[in-house]
Amino acid sequence: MTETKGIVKILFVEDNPDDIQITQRALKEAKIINKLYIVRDGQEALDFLLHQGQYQDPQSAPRPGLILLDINLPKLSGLEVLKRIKEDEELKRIPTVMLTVSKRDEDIIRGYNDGCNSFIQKPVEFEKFVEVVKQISLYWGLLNVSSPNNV
Amino acid sequence: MDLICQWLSSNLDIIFFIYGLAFVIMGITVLLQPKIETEFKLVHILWLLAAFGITHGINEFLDMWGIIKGRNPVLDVVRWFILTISFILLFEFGRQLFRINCHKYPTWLKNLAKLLVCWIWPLAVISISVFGLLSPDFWTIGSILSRYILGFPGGCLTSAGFVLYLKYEKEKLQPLKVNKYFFQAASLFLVYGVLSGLVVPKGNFFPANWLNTDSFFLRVKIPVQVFRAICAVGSSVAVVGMLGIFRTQLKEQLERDIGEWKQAKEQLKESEQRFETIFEGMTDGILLVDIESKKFYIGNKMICQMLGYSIEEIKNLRVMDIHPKEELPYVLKQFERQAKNMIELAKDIPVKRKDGSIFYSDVNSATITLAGKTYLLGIFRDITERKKMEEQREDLIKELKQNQELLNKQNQELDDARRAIKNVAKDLMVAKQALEQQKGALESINRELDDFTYIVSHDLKEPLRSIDAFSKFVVDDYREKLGEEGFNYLERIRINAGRMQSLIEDLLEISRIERKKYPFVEIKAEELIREVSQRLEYAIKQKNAQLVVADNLPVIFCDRVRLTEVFINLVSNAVKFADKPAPLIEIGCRDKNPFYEFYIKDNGPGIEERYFNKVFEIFQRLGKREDHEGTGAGLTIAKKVVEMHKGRIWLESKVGEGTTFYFTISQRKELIIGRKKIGEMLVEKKLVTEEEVKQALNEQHKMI
Repeated sequence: MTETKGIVKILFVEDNPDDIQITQRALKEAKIINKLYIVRDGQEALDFLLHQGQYQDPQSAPRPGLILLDINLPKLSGLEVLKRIKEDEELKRIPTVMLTVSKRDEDIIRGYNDGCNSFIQKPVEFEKFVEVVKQISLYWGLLNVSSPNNV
Repeated sequence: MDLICQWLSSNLDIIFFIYGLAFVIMGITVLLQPKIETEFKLVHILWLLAAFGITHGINEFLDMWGIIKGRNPVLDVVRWFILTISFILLFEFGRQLFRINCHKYPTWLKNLAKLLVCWIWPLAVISISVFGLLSPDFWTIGSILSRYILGFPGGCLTSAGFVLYLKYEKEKLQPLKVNKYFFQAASLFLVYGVLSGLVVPKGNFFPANWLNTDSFFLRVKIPVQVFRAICAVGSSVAVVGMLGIFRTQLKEQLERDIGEWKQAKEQLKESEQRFETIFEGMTDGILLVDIESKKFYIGNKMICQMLGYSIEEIKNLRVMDIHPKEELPYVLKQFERQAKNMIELAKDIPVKRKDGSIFYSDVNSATITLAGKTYLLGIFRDITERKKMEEQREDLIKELKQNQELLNKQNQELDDARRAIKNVAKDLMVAKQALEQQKGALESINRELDDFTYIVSHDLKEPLRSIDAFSKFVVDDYREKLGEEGFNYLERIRINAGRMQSLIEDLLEISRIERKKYPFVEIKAEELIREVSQRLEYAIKQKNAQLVVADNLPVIFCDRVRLTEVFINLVSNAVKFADKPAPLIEIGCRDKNPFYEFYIKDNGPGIEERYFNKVFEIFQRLGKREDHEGTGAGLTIAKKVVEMHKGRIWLESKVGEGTTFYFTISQRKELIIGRKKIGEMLVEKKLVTEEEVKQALNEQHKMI
C-alpha cells in the first residue's frame, strides 16, 4: 500500500474479518489504490467521522471521500450510521455506498431514505464482487485507479 | 116668433119625444160605456144618472102619450111612479156626487155634505105620499111634490156635484179637456132642476098656483117642456162628452195593455228561446211524460241521440217502450214513486235504445203541470261509462287486494329470508372472527418464518462468500502448487458455493412474494408480453425459436412486475428445454369470465403426467442438474404470483409433443385487491343494520 496523500481516502466500516480481507483484495484486484481506513462497528465509524473517542486527533482520522458501509454492524447498525451521516451538514456530502447481503436489505435501504448514494450486494462469487467494486468506484469518479504495472 | 111658439105649443108631443129620447140616449150611452178600471169614482155612480135618464125619458114618452091619447087614471099612476123613481135616482145621483170628494172639502162643505144622508129620499117619498093622500088629487099633487122635494134638489145637487167634482179632480181632468162638459152639465142640470122642479103642473097651493107650467106659458109664450127638452139634450151631450174621459182612459189603458202584452210576448219569446237553448243544449237527455197515459209529450235532442229515436217517434212512445221488458216492474215502480214525488232520483235505470241495446242511466225527475195535466219531467244521465269505470275500479281494487296479499306473503317470505340471512350473518360473523384470529396467527407465523428465512439465508451467505473468496485466493495464489486435481476440487467448491447462493436467493424471493407487493395496475396484456419477448429476445434467437403472440389480448388488472416474471419464467422454460429444430412458442388468452385464461404452448420434449403437479413444488427439477441451469424455484414463484391474482396454474403435456402451461387471473378487481368484510357487505346491501350485527355478535358471545 503506497502513500496516498492527496488521494481520496475511503472509510470502510465492516466487522467481519473475512469480509475485510476479501474487500481489501477486491479493491486491490480492481486496482484501487486509495488509502483504506477500516473501522469495525457503527460507533467507531461515527467516532472516526466526528473525531470522537480514539479518533480525536484529526490526523488519525482524515475526512474520507467515500464511505463503504456494511449494513450489519455491531453496536450501531449500518442504517443508523447512514442516518447520522446524512443528518450532518458536512458529512452528508460524502458519497456513501452500502454493502448488503440480500435484496431485502436493498428494499429496507430504499424505504429508509434517499441518503444512500449507492449500494453493493456482496456477491458470493469473488469475481463478481471485484467487478461491482470497480463499477461503483468508477461511477463515483473520485478514486484513482492505479495502472496494472503498479500492482 | 109667434109662429114658432105656435108650432111648438101645437106639437108638444114631438118636444116630449125629443126630450125623452135625449135622456134615454144619455142613459143607454152611459150604460153601454165599457166597464174599465179607473181612478175616477164618478164612474161608480154614473149608473144612477143612466137610470135617471132612461126612467125620465120613459116618463116623457108617457107624457107624450098622454097628450096624444088623453089623460087616464092608469097612466097617471104609472107616470107618477116613474117620475118619482126618476127623481129619486137624480136626487141620489146628485147627493152621492156631492159627497164623492167629501174628504177633500173644507169643513163647512163637509158638514153640509154630512147632512145629506142616504135616508133623505125614503123620507121624501113618505112625505110626498102623506101630502098626496091628504089632497083630493093624489096623482097631480104627488107629482108636484115629487118635483119640489126630489127633482129640484136633485138637479141642484147634481149641478153642484159636477162643479165640486171638477174642482177637486182638476189635476186629473185638466189634461183630458173635459172641463167644458162639466160646466155645461152643471149649468144645464141646474137650469133643468129649476125648470123641472119648480115649474110644476098647476096646483091649488102656493107656489104651484103661482109658478106653474101654465103661468110659465102665459109669460114666456113657449111651453116649459121646450126648455126642459133643450136642457135634456144639452145635458145629455155634456154627459156623453164627459164619458170621453173614460174613452181617453180606455185608449190609454189599451195602449198600455198592448205595450205590456207586446213586452210579455217579447219576454215569452226570449224565455222560450232560453228554454229552448237550455232544453236542447242539455248534455242530459230530457223526457216529459204524461203521468196518466205514460206517453211521452216532448223530449230534447240529447234524449233522441241517447235513444236513437227521432223526436216524432218519441212522441208516439210510452214509458214501457224504452226499458227492457224484464226490468219493467222495477222501472215502473220507480216511475210511480217519482210521479208521487216520493223520490227525485232513480239510479241505475236500464234504458233500451231503438236498436235494442241497453244503457244505464240516472233519472232525475220533477212533476210539472201544463194546462191542467200533470207531467213527469225526467232528466236522463247516461252512466254506462261511470258504471264501467266503477266496475273497472272494483276490478282494480280486487286486483290490488290480491297484489297486496301477494306482497304481504312476499314480505313475510322476505322477512323469513332476512331472518335466515341474519342467522347466516351471525354464523358468518363468528366464522369470520375465528378466521381473523387464525389469519392473525398465520400472519405472525408467516412473519416469523420470513424473518427466519431472511436471517438464515443472510447468515448462510456470509460463510459462502468466505468459502468462495478464499478458495479463489488459494486458486490464484497457489495454482502451481495445487496441481490439476487440487485446482478442480477448489473449483467444485466454488461452483457449489454459487449454487447454494442461488438456492438461498430463491428461498428469499419466495418468502418475499407475500411480503413485498407492487401496486396493481390496469395494463394491456399485449404490452406486458412485448416486454417479456424483448427481455428474452437473445435467448429465443440463440435457440432459433419462434414466439407467436395472439392478437386478441385483453386489458388486465395485475401486479405488473410479478406477472411479467411469471411470463418470463414460463417462456424461458420453454426456450430452455426446447429440443426441436424449429421451436415454436405460442402465447394467447381466452376470456373465461370471471377469469382470463392465458396459455404458453411449446413443442418441446413434454412432461410426463406424473410430474404435472410436482413441477410446481419448490426446488423440484426434472432435468439433470448439469443439463440445465436454475434452481427449480421458477414455477413455484409463478404459482404463488398466479394465486396472488386469485387464479390457478396447471399444465397439459404429451411427452415428445410439447407442453402447454395455463394460468388464470381474475377479472374482478375487488377479488384481487381483497374481499370486503362480510359484515360490511351485509350492511351495505341493507340486509342487516350495524346494530343487528353488533347484537348478533353479543348474543353469540353470550352463548359462548
